Amino acid sequence: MTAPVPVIPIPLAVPPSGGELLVENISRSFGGLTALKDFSFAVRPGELVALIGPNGAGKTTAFNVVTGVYPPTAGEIRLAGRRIDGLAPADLCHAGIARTFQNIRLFPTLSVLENVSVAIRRPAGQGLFRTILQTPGFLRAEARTEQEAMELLATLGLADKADLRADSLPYGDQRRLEIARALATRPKILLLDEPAAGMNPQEKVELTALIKFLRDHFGVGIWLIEHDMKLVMAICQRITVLDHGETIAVGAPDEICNNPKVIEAYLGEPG
Amino acid sequence: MTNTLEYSPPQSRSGSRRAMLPAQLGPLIGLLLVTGFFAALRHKTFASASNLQVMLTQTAVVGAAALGMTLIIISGGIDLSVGSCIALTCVVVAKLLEIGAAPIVAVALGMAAGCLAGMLIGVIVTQIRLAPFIVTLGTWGAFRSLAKGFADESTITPDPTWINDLLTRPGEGHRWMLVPPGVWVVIILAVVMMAVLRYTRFGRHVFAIGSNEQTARLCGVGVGRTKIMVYAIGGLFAGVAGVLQYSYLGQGDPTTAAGYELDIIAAVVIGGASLSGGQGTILGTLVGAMLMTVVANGCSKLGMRNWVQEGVTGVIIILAAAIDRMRPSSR
Repeated sequence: MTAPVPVIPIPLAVPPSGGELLVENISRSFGGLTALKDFSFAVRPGELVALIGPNGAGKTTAFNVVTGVYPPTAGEIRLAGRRIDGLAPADLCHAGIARTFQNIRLFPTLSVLENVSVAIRRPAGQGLFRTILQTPGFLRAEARTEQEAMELLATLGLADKADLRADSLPYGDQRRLEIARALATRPKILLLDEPAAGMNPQEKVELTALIKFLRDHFGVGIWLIEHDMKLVMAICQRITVLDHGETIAVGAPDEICNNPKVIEAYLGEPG
Repeated sequence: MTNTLEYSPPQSRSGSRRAMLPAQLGPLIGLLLVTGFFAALRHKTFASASNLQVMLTQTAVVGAAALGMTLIIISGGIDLSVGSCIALTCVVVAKLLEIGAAPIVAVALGMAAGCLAGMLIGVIVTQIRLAPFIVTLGTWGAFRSLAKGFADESTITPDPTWINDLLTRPGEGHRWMLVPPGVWVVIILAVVMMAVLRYTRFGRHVFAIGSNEQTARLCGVGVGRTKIMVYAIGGLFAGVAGVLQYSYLGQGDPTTAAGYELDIIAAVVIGGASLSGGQGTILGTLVGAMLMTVVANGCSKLGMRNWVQEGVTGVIIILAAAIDRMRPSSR
């Protein structure tokens, strides 16, 4: 596991290297409707940033464009300097982008451990030929895959459920398993789409602590969409606010809280 | 506020991981019950060593093809043309022997023909994005017609070679083999497939695709490539079944193995696989294939008519699937 990465203060200039995700002026329209207009965003490894906005503001559209569900109609997306817009989901995963969904997506018929193992990649040593011969290299790689998967499960508090079927888990556990699955691909940037949806206040408190822990423990950049303002304000360094597909504010939590445009569009009333 | 948020991973409540009930246990108990039932009623004719050998031999062709079908069904696919593919391979082997090819060459090229046929299915399924049910409904007719064309719509009967002995009882001096070499081939292939499914990345990916294809893509699984591989392996096993069928018949018959696709799919389903993908085991499939043979053989030993056996097999398929549904979702 990577060593904890210190919290980077809100950076204004882009560091020369690293795995930063840069979204530059992307737009996406469906027929005549513009769901997202001139949207720009940046996430660096070790950062925790949020995208908020009222329902239908274009938040999930932004995630879908970045994760290759559909290409942008305009604009560019770069990860560590490399163009990634238009890549297929499997290639984006290899590039270092992982994501969870509002509606949880797991392998329902597989065990909790298998759900994570599938996502773990090993460079070599698991070819058909080696398997038949059961070479020591293969056995070691296999053991390492399982060990790595178990470590992830332990980190997320799911180790004692490793052998259960994924669809038999309670809701909160399924959410954490989805995060474990996403982390298993060793992403540089992790996108969480409403991770607190459907959780009770106690679970939300735990999740908030977990997200912060993941950022520090794995050094990933976490970009989240969330409706729970308390959660967002507590842990995010930077917040972007969308309304009707347009970016109406970018800034630190307290700046966002006091921004009249945001209060008008999203928060409704101060406090 | 941030300082109050401290995350510590919950400790495992129990030190040991809960063991899962093996999925193949149900079919295995069914097989033992049915075998016990017939053995009790006809212990002289049914429960003899020679009858056991006969049953293993009868299961070899369906069993070989069912190994490949297990992989296909776990991936969420289906191959309705496997019977036609067996006939095609059977004819290819006979034709090659007829024109004077060495037996080993005939076997290799026959299996290669099966593998190519499977690969073709995989390419159509992934590249044209058609449902495997539709694609293989097409190849069900196409492969059969190809077999008939190759054989000029008649049977080909080349001179006997060692291939003809693959499913005969081991002769003097080979008694140590216990069962015919063809049965050993199926057993060895089954062990290899178990290892592939259980211990390789490819195996994990096959389960993942069958369980949730979209999520598999998100995890970086090369879905198209894996699927083509799955159908190619399925075709290869159909090829092995075709060679064994040739061995059993002693000739290349383009009309052979008609309807086998249903027996083969039934074996996989009785073995605990789900047609919606994501679950299934090799051992379960072999047990399923054996169960069908035992029922057919046992019924005939009891002097039951053919239609009764077919009815009993039908009931068993539905029962097996129903029992599988009642199983709690922990495996």
